Amino acid sequence: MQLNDVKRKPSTIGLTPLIDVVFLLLIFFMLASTFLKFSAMPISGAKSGGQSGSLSEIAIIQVRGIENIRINGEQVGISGVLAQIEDLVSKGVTRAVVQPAQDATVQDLVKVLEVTKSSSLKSVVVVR
Amino acid sequence: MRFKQQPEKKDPGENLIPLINVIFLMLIFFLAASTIRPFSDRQIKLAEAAKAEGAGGGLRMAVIREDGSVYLGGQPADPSALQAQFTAWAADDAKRGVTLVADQGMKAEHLIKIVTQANNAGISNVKLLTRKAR
Repeated sequence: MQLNDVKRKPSTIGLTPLIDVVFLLLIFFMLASTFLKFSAMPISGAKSGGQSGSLSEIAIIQVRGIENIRINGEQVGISGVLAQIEDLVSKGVTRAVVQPAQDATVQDLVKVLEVTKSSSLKSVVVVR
Repeated sequence: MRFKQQPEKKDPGENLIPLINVIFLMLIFFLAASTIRPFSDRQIKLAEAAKAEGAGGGLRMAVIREDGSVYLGGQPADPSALQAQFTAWAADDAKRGVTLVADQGMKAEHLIKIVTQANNAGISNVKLLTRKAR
């Protein structure tokens, strides 16, 4: 009995289509990717008829510029904000209202909100 | 006169393997070391924050350029279109919130206006996308 000796060539994957796909993936990821680290910062606006409480519990932080921030009327720079807030917290302030004014940019607002977030204030809202 | 016979060409596949190695390496580098950009507007320079916590927002995004113009899904949107979009999102699922992608040099007052607009439409969870300062 004679068996047919089937000789098969070892089938190789076509290299050209493989390279096509890999190139495509490479170009997609090169264009679509970034090495920046992102984070989403919550911003809460004021709601009408929100929490009730005495006015003495609220500090008003007016942001006019990064070195021109007024906390309850007292002018401080960004480096003095935390100390000023903690001083007010020790006097019974629990909430703050951040109000950007004049030429304050989004960057200034973010810096101030970061500081208020790290402080012991219970809630911070932004108003216009 | 006899010409020398041209040497037979090698199988091109042989030379491609080192190329593929390098490309694969680059591909894996980009896959592992990077994240996909959450938005595609290259004119936006995000505000810098000291910390990077939590990934960027979901699919509900409004992009606001430095001049205050708003873009939804890459298309410019006027205030009424933005209002309509906020209302539609709030009606669909208000808890999912919305992520604002705002330029760092934009006036903060304008950002607050849009935050208030979203809040009034019923979306309470508004976030601002920032990037970690280097």
